[in-house]
Amino acid sequence: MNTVSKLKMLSSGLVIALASCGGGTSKTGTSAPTSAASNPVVAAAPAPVPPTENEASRFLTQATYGATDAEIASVMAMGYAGWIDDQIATAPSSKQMPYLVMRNKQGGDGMESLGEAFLRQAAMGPDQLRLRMTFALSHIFVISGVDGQVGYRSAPMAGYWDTLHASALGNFRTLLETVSMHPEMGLYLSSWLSDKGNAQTGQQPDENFAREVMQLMTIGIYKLNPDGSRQLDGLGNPIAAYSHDDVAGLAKVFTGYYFYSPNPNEQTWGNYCFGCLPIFDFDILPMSAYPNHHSTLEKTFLGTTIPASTAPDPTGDLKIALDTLFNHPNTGPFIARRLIKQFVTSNPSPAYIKRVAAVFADNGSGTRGDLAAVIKAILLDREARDAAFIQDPTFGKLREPMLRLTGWMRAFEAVSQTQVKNGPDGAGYLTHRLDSNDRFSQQPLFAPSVFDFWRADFSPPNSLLSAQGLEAPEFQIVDELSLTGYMNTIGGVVRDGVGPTPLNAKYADIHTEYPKETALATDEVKLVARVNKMLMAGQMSDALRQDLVTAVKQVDIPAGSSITADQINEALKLRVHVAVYLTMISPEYLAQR
Amino acid sequence: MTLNASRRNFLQHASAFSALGAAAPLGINLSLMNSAVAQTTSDYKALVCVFLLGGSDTANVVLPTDSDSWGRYIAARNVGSAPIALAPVGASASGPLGSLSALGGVLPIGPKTAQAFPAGTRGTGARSFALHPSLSRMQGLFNSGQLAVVPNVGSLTSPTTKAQYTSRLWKVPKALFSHSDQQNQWQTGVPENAPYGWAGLMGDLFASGNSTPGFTSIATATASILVSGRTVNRYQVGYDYARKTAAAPINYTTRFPFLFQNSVASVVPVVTRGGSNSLIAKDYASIVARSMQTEQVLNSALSGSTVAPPGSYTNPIDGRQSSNLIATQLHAVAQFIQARSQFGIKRQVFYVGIFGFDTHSNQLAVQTGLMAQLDHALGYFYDTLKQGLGTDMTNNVTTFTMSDFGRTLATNGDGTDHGWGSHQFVMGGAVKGGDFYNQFPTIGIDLVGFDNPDAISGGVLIPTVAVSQYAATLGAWFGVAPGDLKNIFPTLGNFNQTNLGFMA
Repeated sequence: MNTVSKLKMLSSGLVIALASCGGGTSKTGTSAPTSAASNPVVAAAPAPVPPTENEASRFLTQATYGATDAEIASVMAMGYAGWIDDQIATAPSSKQMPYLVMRNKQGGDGMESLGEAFLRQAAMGPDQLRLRMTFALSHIFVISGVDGQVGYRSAPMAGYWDTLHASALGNFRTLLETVSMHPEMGLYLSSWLSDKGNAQTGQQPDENFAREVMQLMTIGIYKLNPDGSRQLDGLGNPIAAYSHDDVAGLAKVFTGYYFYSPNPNEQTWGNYCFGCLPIFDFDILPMSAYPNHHSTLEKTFLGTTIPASTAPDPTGDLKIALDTLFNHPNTGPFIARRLIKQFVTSNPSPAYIKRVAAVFADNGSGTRGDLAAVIKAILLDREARDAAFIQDPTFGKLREPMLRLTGWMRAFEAVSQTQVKNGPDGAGYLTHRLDSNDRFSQQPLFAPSVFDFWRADFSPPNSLLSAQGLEAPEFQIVDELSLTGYMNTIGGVVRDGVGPTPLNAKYADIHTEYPKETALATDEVKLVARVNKMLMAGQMSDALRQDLVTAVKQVDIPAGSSITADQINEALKLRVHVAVYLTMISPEYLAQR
Repeated sequence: MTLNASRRNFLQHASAFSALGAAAPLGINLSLMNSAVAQTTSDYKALVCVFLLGGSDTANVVLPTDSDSWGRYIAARNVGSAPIALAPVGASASGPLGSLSALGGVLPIGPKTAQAFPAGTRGTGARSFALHPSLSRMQGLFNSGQLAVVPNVGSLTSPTTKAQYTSRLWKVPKALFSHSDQQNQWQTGVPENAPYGWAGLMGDLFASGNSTPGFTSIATATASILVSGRTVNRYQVGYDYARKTAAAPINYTTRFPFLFQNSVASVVPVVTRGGSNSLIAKDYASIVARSMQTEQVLNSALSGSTVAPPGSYTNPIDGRQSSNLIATQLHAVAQFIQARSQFGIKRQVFYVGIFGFDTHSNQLAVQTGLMAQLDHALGYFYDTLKQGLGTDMTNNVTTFTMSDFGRTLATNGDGTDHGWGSHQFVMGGAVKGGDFYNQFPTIGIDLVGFDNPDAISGGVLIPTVAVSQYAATLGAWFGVAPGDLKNIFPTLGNFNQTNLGFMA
């Protein structure tokens, strides 16, 4: 680690620690937990002690697709802030769309190939923080192949993912514009081909994107305080952030857009031309503006008014609209809360949200919307790092199914046999569809609706969580059916791997022999300790650890002159399977803390 | 009864079960009830909700066909790049398969009670009506008296006029036009977001009368709140009729058989114990315990099911046959109804749901496919209840539709945007069918020379019946006492009519 990044680490650690001083400590609507959440003593600037292995593992569980031995070593060497800076400087890993184009030519199933592209990046991508941010953003800026028009062509969906990836550690304003103008978003939320209204017939602009970009992607339904809590009127009711009139006003801005064309005209409006452009370009280039179809009426939204004009100005109107959304006082706390929930905890304190929102407003150099600074603030915040929070009953989040799978792949260095054969640019990480209830109930870019797989404010009915007014978004896809689907699926994954079994191969495509764990498996305590470190950052309860040791011991290691090395190895591997499998179906593991 | 007390009871029982392992008795009361509210019923009644997710464009589902209304409907919808207007009654299905003109005209229905013309619509005598061309089974059920229409229902805090709404001073439901919020309000019956579903709260009242209360509330579609009560948990089942299994067994025995052979005790606690003080872990463990407890009894009961699965439905647009995602769920519901005696169930609530109704674009084709599924599914379910369960259950089961909201009458070129009031269906032998149970509103967009008293901009209907009134009417039939209805629907008292009268 060089001196510059060391200094960065020190200074950012200090900033975060100071920012937390005097911050509110109570949580909305609940009694304060008896933990460091309400204990200001820890607010003093900590000396930058290098993280332990378990601390590094915990950090990586939040910041990446899963801890590996190599990354644990990196975090221990660089420190948290140094590792983040190193990640920000790491070049983006290869894009998904070229992979999809290649796989489509090979006749691959588009949905499966999107899963392959996802798992491939998760396993091999060096820019883990950017990739994980991309995944988080895909939960906010939702498009979904469940919609037939979107799912019909998988390569442009990968192109949309690449767009999120390109801005994931860039500026939010850029992200907002590239997403708004992406033809896949246009297609999904029907701003694509939205025509200006017609006063004679009453035809109106399509309001779909205008509504959801406010509700789900920037400001949310209610006016927020800087700490993310709702502003209340004199009667204690939340105040709406926008009305239907604002939606209708903003909808006029998003009129007159259609697939990219080098020469947009009345003939190309509504008639995209396969073969006119290099394949797929029109599917991923920003949509073209068609001034004749853009509204010239007055557009009023969120306190901003674009006056009526004689000449349509789609580009100018777009800039005003996106600037308005970007600079809205809700956007910082809204995005801060959404991202904290994706990375760290479902119920962040208002003070945590406020600290992150402040970084969204100003990265320290006067720049608003710097997502690299925002994720750094999220991950370095004491509410994310201080071990005292691990004991807080309300802290943490339910691990989402995809992160359970990628965490397993990375922890145990599962690799794709096909990838090994084809090389890094070839096909690999072959998978089946991941989404169904008897598997993982989740497939990236295939949420049931624009409200994602789960609503960010979901609280499971009739639960300990809801009794305390707490949220746990990922619980929305947990039910009798999906959890057994997961438990059954992960058993097969742990033992045999995931994906189709290649011709003449013994195991599924993505598979591990668990070399490091098998080497320890004669000693059940050491084996369980390693699984504990890699999957649970050392957080296993004594009871779980004891149960695992007991279960592992049930696998006898054969001995005697007639026993082959293979037989012994099989028994050792079975011990590993038992330890990993039982860990991954334990509620303690599923609750990431 | 307090929430915390019931949670404690639940957890005590869940942990008692987990200590017993897989051999636990199956009658354990998962949803302990205060016996004071136990209902004494010897019959069986079920409420089955079919939720049309995304906001159903009911302006194309139930249509007034008087000339004044039809003229404004055509003026609003037969325009744009891809017109979304349907053809009039009697139009021939002239086009080739694959074309929209193959659909034919809307299908006439005649409500038993004459519908007066509302203030904004000119006309004399009784108004005439029709259904979407794909709803031929439902047309038959309406005309033979098993299906009723409740026009213009939506989330309301209190009766609301156009003047009151546009004054912006009137209290209206929170977050109108938002999918998530309006789904919540339809499912909770509360015009601001609430944590319990109204059917779940009704389930709470009756669960103690069920021998296996864990099966009081069943959902075949995921992520709903309608059938989640304070104490009654939504039990989630699958509906892949090809497998026929309704519940998923945890089958680690197949991959790691020795774990079970040698020591069940070492596995069950791992998955049913929160293990730490994490509320997330504890809540997750509760669902695992519940799942393990119920799946065996459920699957053994349902494995003997003789309920015939639905066939495929034909999409009128392209002539293709596909499996019907509503009917397959109703097949699962029918299997539960058939097994009601085995489970000792007296009162049951079901949630069935299907996505796709958010027809901002390509509406005519998308909506037609969805309507064909709904029609085929309700027809299948009615026939199954009538003849497929050994006993005629049509009088015992009431099926009803709900949706986020209606949509704009105005087109956006090839689709419609989020609205408010919508028309819904209620089906069953106990339904006073063949009739409408509210004034059907004036249809039309405000343009120069026309001001629709029943609609706001874009022809969005202001509901004249609240979700709470609609749901309370169903609840009264289910056997919920008036006082309990007022508890479940805190704003019901704001409306004069607490029973809309569509249930016998």
